[in-house]
Amino acid sequence: MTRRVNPGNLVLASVSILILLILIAPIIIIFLVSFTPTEMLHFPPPGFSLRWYEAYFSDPKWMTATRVSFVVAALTALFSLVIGFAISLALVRYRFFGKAGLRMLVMSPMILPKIIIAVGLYFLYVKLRILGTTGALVMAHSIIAIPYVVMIITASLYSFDRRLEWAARSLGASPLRAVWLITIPNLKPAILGGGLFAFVASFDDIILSLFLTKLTEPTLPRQIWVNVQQTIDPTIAAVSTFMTVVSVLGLWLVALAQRGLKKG
Amino acid sequence: MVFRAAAARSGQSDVQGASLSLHGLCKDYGSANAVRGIDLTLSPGRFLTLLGPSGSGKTTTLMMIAGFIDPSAGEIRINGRDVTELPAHKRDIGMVFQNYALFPHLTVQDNVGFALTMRGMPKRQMHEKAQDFLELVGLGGFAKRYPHQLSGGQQQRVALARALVFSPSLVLMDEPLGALDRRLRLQMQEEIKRIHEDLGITVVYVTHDQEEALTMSDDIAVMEDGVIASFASPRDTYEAPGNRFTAKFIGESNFLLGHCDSCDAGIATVTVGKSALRVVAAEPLARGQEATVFVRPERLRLADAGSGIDNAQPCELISEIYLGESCIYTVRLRDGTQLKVRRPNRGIGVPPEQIADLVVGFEPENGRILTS
Repeated sequence: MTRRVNPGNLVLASVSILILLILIAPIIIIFLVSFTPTEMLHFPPPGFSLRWYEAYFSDPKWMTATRVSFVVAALTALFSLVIGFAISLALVRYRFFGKAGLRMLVMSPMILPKIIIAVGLYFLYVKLRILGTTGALVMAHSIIAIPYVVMIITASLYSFDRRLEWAARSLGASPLRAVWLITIPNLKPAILGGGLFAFVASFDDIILSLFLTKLTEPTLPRQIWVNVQQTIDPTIAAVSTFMTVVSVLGLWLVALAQRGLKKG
Repeated sequence: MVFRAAAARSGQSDVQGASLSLHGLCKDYGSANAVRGIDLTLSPGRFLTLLGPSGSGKTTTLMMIAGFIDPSAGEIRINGRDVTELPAHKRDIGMVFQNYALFPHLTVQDNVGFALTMRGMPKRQMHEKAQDFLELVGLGGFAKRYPHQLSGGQQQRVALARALVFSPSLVLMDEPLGALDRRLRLQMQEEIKRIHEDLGITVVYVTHDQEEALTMSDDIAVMEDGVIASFASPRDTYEAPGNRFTAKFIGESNFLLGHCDSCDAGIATVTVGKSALRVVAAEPLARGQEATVFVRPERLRLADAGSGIDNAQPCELISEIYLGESCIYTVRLRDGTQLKVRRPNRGIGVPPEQIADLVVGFEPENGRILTS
């Protein structure tokens, strides 16, 4: 069969490539700018230098923000996995009053404007005197992360053969032990995926962080925000590149682990 | 006796079958009644098959015995002890599922030894005992494999070993051979029978395959619409079904609708259309009572009108299906009723198509009267 170039396909391909370029352009530009030797954000960079990476890694302010972001994102992933898994089990396995309501409530942060959640939590946290604490931020981030976890885990729970759990119970495992020893290991790909999404949802967030963090302990996105307002130097390009690399690396690792699990 | 030997070697006393009794067991799902009152008693060591079409409630009944589905009403007793409220993992019941339900993330030996691990047996001892049971199902060399590396038949053997390794006295099987091809199925039927006899365990087996039920069981409970339509030995279930549903569900059957004319000394005369048929009656019938005469195709005979067979009725041949070891003939009576006749291919006698004055008949003891 000979391949003939169809004009329609040609147009489709060109449009696709164009859209892809538009989507990826900011990342490429930031990546290039981060290597600029100049004091200002320059594109294209007039030379090559790692000075802004040095500035990032040697500034305690940036390092604090980085640590906060990682700790909060990791705790958010853990917390929303535990809660999200329990909610998923309830939604898939049981029939109870208010099930449809619970599902809507859990999924609503996906469509609700984040700013509304942020303002609401701000006043709540002030009242509870927990504003600015790590735990409070983790809870806030979990609210927006749990819908992802629930979406991914319910999908794989629906296709999980319940008889595996029954088999474990007939062999003497209590219901809880059956879930721990049989269900969770078999849902590992979904749990990893859900955890990654929760991590990124937290790592990425600026709106909730703006309202709910202390200025002395901001998350990375908030520190970028502050920097942009005050000084605007190419450190933010270096930080942004670093954040992108972390996200892509995480995605790649999870994909790798999932493939390994499926094979195993 | 190999299984018993393996059980003894692992320091366990001989397995004894448990008795099982169900009293008024019901399950309703909202508006639909899946099971509507099951009563049965099973003595230790028996092999009971729950047989019925899909939706008859046989699997629901099994899952209630196992403890995975809560009954809406009724009672389950094992060895006389009420276990209705006992959680599944404390019932000590072995369970084999239709799709095997092997744990995909565990090796074959860890699958088989799972029940032992749950009972706190150290890993090395657990692997040794799992190995014993794997050898007994002919899979000694497969301990380190994963379930997905085995064929369907091998997976089923692993599932069997897994359900037996902790010496349960009651084993439930939910259509365990449903996914296997015919040859493998026959082989596994024999193996399950052998294990049942070796161990003396009580087995409750669910299937919709009547042949499987007939060959394997001590008792067959035929289920219809959530109740037991018949509870009897395989032979009685086939030869003396108590009602039309049972007769129809197992094997091929012919029904002739009529009224009782007289009933005397265990022989009833039933008027069907214009002819009077003499049939053995298990219970006395009242004159004029509605009665269905039931005859299996292999008990009907085709002959010449002059041969003087019992209950002869003139008929004409409609069709013939050649099956090799036998032929199925469809004949039509004068009133239009069609009957199926199975004639063994013995190579003797005149083939029906060569008989000019054809009649179909049967001996009185080869028919049955059904009143429900």
